[in-house]
Amino acid sequence: MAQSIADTNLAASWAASSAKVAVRVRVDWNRDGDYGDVHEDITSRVQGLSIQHSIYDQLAGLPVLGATAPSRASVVVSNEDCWFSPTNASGLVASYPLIAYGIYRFPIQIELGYYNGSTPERLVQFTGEIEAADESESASDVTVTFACTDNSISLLQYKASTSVYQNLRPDQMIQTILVAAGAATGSSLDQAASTIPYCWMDDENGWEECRDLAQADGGIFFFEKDGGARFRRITAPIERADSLTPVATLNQGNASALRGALTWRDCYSRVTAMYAGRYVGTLDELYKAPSAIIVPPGQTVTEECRLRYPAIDVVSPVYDIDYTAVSSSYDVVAYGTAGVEIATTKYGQRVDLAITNHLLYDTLYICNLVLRGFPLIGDEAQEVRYDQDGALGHVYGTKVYNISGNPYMQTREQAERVAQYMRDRLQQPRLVYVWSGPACPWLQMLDRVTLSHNTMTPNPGIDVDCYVMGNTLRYNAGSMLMQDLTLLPATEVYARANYFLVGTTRYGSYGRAGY
Amino acid sequence: MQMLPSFPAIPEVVTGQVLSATTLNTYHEGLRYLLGVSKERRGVQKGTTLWTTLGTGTTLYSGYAPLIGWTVTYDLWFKGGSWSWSIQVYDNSGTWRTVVSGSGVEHVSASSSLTPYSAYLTEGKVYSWRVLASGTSAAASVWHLSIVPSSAPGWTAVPTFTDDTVSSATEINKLRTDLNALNGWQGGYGIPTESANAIVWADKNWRTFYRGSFEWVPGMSMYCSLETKGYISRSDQVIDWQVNLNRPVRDGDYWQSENLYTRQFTKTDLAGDYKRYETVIPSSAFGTMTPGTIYSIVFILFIEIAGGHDQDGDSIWARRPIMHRIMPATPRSGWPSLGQWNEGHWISASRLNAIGTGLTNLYVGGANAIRPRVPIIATGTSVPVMHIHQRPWLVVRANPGSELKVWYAGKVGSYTESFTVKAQEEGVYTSIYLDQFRPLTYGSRYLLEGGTWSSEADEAYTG
Repeated sequence: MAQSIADTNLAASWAASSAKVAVRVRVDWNRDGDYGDVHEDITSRVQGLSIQHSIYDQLAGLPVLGATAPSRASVVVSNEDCWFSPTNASGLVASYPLIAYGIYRFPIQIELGYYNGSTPERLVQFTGEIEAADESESASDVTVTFACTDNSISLLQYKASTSVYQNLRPDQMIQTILVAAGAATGSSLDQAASTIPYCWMDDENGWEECRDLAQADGGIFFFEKDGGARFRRITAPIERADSLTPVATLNQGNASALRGALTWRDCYSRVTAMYAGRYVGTLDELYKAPSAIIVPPGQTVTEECRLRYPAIDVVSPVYDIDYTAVSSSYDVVAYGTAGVEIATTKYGQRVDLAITNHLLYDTLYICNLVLRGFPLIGDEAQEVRYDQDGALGHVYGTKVYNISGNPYMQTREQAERVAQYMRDRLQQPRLVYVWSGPACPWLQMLDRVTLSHNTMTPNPGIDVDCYVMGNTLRYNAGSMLMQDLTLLPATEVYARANYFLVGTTRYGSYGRAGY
Repeated sequence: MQMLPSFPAIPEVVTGQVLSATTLNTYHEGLRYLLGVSKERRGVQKGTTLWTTLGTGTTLYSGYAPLIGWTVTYDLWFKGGSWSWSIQVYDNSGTWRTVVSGSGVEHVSASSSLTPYSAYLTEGKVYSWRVLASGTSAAASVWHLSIVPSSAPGWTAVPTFTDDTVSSATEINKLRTDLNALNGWQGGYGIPTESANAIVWADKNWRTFYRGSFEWVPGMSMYCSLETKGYISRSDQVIDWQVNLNRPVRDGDYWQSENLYTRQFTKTDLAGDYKRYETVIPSSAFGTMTPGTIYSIVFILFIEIAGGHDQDGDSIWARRPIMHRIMPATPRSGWPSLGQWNEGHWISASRLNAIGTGLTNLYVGGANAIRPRVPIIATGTSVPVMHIHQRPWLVVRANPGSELKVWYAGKVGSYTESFTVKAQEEGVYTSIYLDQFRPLTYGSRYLLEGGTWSSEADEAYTG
């Protein structure tokens, strides 16, 4: 959804023949959640920067929108006085001692725009963290280049285990992961169309899980310019206001280059989607300790038990049934505050047992420990298959795109919905444009723009509405703020133009059901 | 691995979303699932066979049931001098608590709210219940005792859609709300039927072997069966199995009775080992019945002394009676046509209103109303309970480590084949996931022996 430019002159400044670029780059050196402290505004030292946002991966192509790398930014700052160098005791480190350990994972925000007279009008273009700071020195220049990753960095570094959740929508599970990873601030998640019977994490990477969850609904997961996570369901481009109505017209007047490539590579005559259901098995032994667990007197030992299968529930170990307890003097140790106590924490495929030995002098041995539970057993993957539509499909021969390997694709309904929308997207070649010109700073992913080049090129020219799939911004001090936009023409990405929109369409012969 | 039918996860829609055929089909799927519930086979409730003479604090009836709602329904009969009665529950504090009581009225057929006792009871938990009565020169009979949910939680007025009006997520989501409400109303338990001890009858005249009570629903028929063997000395003599309807109207010492079916066992029929005999009493055989009223069916064994013959040592063994209702495949009046939604279909008011019609039809007072309840039953460990496999779990009350035997019809249909499972070591309640047992096909009858209470359930029992 495009950023608001209400009460600004940005639209006119962008369209004007000249405009002064307004830049602001700030780093939260003390990680207090704001950028207002001393030396946190580093704009005056910025020599150049670039930002890449994209939901379109050149290699992966149209089938896997959203499966791209996180947004990145590169900021080159002057360091002639070694201001940013951790070894310079009189530099930035004097105010922020943490920098002595190196510049790593400090929050950064980049704002770009244009001056309206003497008033800078800026919009946030990137929010993330500095992942690396490379110092370089040459005969003419001393700089530091900050390599930045958007707020997905919290997820990229987050591995977690959860219990098994039942009947959650993908957006609900994504929200759970975001909250657990501390990355939920500013998130905007569409309500997913599908329900996943069972979801859990088992020491898995939060970023990968969120992307898998999104794709199990045919949707897209990414972080927007403001640093908030976004989940856009598969029909978002035909639902959202800024995807339905153009928010900018890219015409030849301010373009510096335009390229168009027909993506036959992304074209398929058939889409298959695999789904694997899960069912609850009978009560079974899911873990057996390989050896006795030793607990010194007066201590608590946490035993991490990895289960053979994820389990919908695990029976808390029962004394004399699931284990026995003896002391180092071979005495039977009773359960309770005078002997042994076990606290159980259950995750999907792991159980943590906090075993407390209340004995004062004797070591405790937990013997023959087993854990029983109701396992979730995976079925063989099943397949749904959709061939190109006779009227809309234009692929010669048979070329199959296979959606597989997503653990969250568990029901036939999910597979059918995703496969059919995907079939519509992939059954004809798409022209993907890259437009270059002065930066239109309010554009965001999936915004609709009108690409109008009908006089500059020999007729018939181009006059088509497109979705923004990629946005690269480049700026060097004293130069223009430039932008490369990757654009997908909106025509026939969906099979129909009159799907029924809840809350907008009238009942009757006005709107049609989606997949 | 077989999978049982289950209520679908119905997505919530939001403003601005493309309404999908998949979502709309979940409404239909939910309706059809609930229609199935309204027509499911339900066991009768084994009441007291005839009259029990009352003393002081006589336990007329006892059993267990999960608290799936906050109403207890009962159908009790008294006769003779004077009497008083009470229904009690063994509550969370370990006390027998009286939830309803009365005296002096010959036929009590009513419901009573359990809400005043909510401080002592936990919804979803299985409790022990009993009917106590005291009397002088009096006797009593229990026909029915069950727990019912008071109302569908969350039910909201069914929306009406009109063509040419702008759609609304709130209105469409009411369909989902009501479907979930009706599903939540179910309580998640099956309705088994307690069987009876095997008997040997060797006397002339009749013996009431089993009484099963049921709520009349128009169109229902009744499956009846039992296993018998026996001895008849002469080829021209027979022993009757009579299936009689008792209407809730006193007639002399008993109730108005009509014969629904008679089977005459011959010497050949009863020779050898137990054999199962079965019949289905058609709906038309019941005559004039009142929907929602509790009726009884009794099995009677009758050694006929025909043609001046002596009894000659004739005898009959009977066991494992089974009775359950069978609903017709065709829903009763007013059930809507629910065609499959496909991508590209117009979303019209009439098609959405058909969903509303289905909801109303299943709700209280509708033509296909679900009428959820769970019977309060108990059994001796050697007396089987008949279940109809309709849910994934079987929850059994049994002593830890007890062996539970499941008898299924098998190829010969006589419940001679069985498998054994063990009650969980650590708990009084054992939850058995039935999908693991291939012989138990969906809809089949089976008998469980070894527990003191059991019921099929949607989920494992967690107490």
